[in-house]
Amino acid sequence: MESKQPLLKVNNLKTYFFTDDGVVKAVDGVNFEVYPGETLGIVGESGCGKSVTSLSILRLLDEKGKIVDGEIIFEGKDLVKLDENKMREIRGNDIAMIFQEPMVALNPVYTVGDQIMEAIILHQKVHKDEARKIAIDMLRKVGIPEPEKRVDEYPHELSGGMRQRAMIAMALSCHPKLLIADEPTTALDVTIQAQILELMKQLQKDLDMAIIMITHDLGVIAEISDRVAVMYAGKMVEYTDVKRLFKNPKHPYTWALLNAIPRLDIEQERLFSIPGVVPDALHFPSGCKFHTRCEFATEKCRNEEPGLIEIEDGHFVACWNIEKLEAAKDRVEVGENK
Amino acid sequence: MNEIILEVKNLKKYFPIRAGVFRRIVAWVKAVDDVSFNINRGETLGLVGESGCGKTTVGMTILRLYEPTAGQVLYGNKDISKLRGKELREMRRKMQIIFQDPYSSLNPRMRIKNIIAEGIITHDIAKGREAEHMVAELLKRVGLSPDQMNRFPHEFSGGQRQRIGIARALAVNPELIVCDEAVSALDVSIQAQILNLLEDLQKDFNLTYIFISHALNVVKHISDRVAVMYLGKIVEIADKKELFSNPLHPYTKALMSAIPIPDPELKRERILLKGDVPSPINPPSGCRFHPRCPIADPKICSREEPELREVKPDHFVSCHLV
Amino acid sequence: MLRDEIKKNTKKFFKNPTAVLGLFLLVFFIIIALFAPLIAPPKDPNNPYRIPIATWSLEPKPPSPEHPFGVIGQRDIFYGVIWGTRTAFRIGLIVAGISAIIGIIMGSLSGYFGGWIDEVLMRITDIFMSLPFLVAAMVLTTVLGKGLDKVMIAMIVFGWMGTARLIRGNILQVKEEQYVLAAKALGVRDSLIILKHVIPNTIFPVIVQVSMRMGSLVITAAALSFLGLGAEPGYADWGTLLSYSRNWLTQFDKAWFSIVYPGVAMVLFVLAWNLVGDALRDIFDPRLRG
Repeated sequence: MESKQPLLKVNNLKTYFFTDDGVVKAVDGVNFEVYPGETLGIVGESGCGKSVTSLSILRLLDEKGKIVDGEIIFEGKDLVKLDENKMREIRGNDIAMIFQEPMVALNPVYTVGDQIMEAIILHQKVHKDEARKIAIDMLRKVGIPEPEKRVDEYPHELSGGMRQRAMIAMALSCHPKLLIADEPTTALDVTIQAQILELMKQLQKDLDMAIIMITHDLGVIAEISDRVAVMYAGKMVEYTDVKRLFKNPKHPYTWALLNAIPRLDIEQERLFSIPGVVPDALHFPSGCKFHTRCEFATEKCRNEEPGLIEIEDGHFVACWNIEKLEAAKDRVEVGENK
Repeated sequence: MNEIILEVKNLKKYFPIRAGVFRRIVAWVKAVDDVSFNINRGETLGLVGESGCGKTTVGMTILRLYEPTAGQVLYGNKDISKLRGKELREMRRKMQIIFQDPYSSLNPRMRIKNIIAEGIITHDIAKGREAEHMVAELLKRVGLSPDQMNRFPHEFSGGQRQRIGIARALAVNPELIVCDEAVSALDVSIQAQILNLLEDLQKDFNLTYIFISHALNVVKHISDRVAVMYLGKIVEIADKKELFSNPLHPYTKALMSAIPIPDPELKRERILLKGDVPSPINPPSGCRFHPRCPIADPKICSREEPELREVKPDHFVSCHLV
Repeated sequence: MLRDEIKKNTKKFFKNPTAVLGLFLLVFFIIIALFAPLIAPPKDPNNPYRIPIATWSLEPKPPSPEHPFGVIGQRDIFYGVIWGTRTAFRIGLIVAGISAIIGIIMGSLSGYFGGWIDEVLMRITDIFMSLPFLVAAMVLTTVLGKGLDKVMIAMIVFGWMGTARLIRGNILQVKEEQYVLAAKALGVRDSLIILKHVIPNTIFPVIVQVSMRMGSLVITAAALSFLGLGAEPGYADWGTLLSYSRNWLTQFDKAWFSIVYPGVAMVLFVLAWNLVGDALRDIFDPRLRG
């Protein structure tokens, strides 16, 4: 993987929101790469900055949000410095995005077909009839039955799962190199979620695109990602490949999170619980952001912020007390696979 | 040990759909359609299914927050669906509910103290200082500080509000609590705290839970027995261990295989269901699952509705082909 | 504890410059209304709302030390503006108050009971709403006869629908909130649920709406006066003063003071209520409290 050039490289990204109540450091120094054709998972709880990271890449922040520092290098260009016209060409064409709530992303007054065709006509400069053909093709590809009929329907006429498929069709109609998926299955029922995840994996293979999957669900991450970034309070705390992350988490937060989920495949007597509450974005703690909830926290954690350090090849962790976690790991009984 | 605390018999709840100038009833949403089950004292019954399966409606109807269309809900030897006035209010003391949404479940204009004390005062359990003392004890029990009792709900985080909701339910000393998606809106780390708290409280107060959720992993963790619902019907009900190690209904199997498991090295056979959940206004004929069922037999499944039958001791399934 | 809460809110109120401006203006108008007999002593104490005749000439007279706001239609504008403040408060309080009460009754009956009661009451509301307000008020005033009290009756009759809709909508929404269900599940009586859960969460938007309407009602009354349907000529009312300038519309330089002084008073009055209404909205919503 290291031999390849990354498609997207995010360096020290800082996105702050300047609200009436103060500065919210939603994303505060985040680094990661996405390689062509791979899936990077970004996982974290509410308010950790995972969605703001994705909106920053596409520069879709509202007027209070600003990228105050860092670079977002996409195919050699720094998206932070690009003017709005150039950015518009990249959006939808090179980088596309799908959201949790398709009803918000789809305009209710246009048919599904119109909305897919709009992007195709805009970016591929083809005639209307041609665009319609591509749109129908796209709908078929995402598994919508009777695409010739559905293309003329309005978003509200589709079910939740179908809408999500239509949004994927719209996002993929211009064959983007990178798809950013922000909690795309969170609002769906599990049987529909399984369909959509399967579809995304299939399309990724067919179209050879990279995916950034943003979710709070570690199960979805395990299912679809190649590499994972774990975020907490605007910071990346751990960054490595998916197998290592689940098998050998090095950050106390990742480790605790993995032990806090009720599992279908394992017997657990009692869930491991992380004490305290997710910190409020206006009042992030000093030092390591996790120290208020971390059982290994020391004086150093309270005062000094740990940097993201490569502790072994391709495994980055931001923690002062990695050894302490290793020593404590045996304590929590994680049951055997059935 | 196996004392039945609540018995639900042939419960139905239909919601009318009205249209036109005269608001005539044009159709019925059959949210719960002939559901029967028992709960033993001190156990947790999980009620699991996807959106629109009627699991929440079952919970609401048991508590008489919705009026049942037909059927009986027997608590002890009393039919809750027939109680009125004072008798009904007395019964409410024994059964409580914890809601999903920690934001809409607490009155934003009331102090925490008054929210929790409402039940204590309604049922004349205590007054004034004594009531306040009880509130303080309850707050401590659910992991909050009694100093916070004069605050308003918006000053608390989602997980803390859920604790307040639990304290409100506990205040009247209930025997049975319906947990309606009680942890679904919470972050993973907070969800674990609340699940552990619910388990501790169950032990301490000998509570019986009906745990309603769409999250199969959560239901598996907390339940003793699990009922799987699909489109207003129970399709399978069994002891937790039995259900998860030996699911028999094709829907249960598909549901289990659809849950993503946080282990990237675990390779599973996945059953992908076709299409979406049909509308409960006009449910499919015969077995309601047949249009999506991977093993449906056109000769029988679309024509005859399967009965919930006991295929093994305490393992009930409603499928023709098991 | 409660004192802290009030203290906090007062502090918040005074930190908001527009709220302070609104309150300042309102206090200013209240002082003028209270001390009107001292600021502009009436010639006939039994009939203070009658603006005394200042001159026999029909020509408007520009401001002078004797008549600081000038004279129009033989009347002293200063006297009219001062005593008109009282009229403005009277119109606002009575019309906004009574129409709000009617609206609250209609809206809460609809919202609580639903079913056919809701249908009937809301259709009545729809009928009233479908009538163009000014036309309907004009017709009713013509039927009842001239005079400020008749105008007020007309404004009440055609002015309660907004409140009714607002409170009905709020009640329907609150009825579905889970805390109402939770109270029901606790066995709390319906009457207590309405008192403790439904009303506190529905009434405050109405108070805000009423305070906002206080100002705008004065404009409506002025519009009716301008059309000749308001108070009788010579009555101390901003709208009546404005209607004098009707005859001098083409000669603004000759009668500007007859528009500017009552006009400014009216604009500031409306502004005061709007700013106070905005501030009340922030205070009444505990979710917005920091």
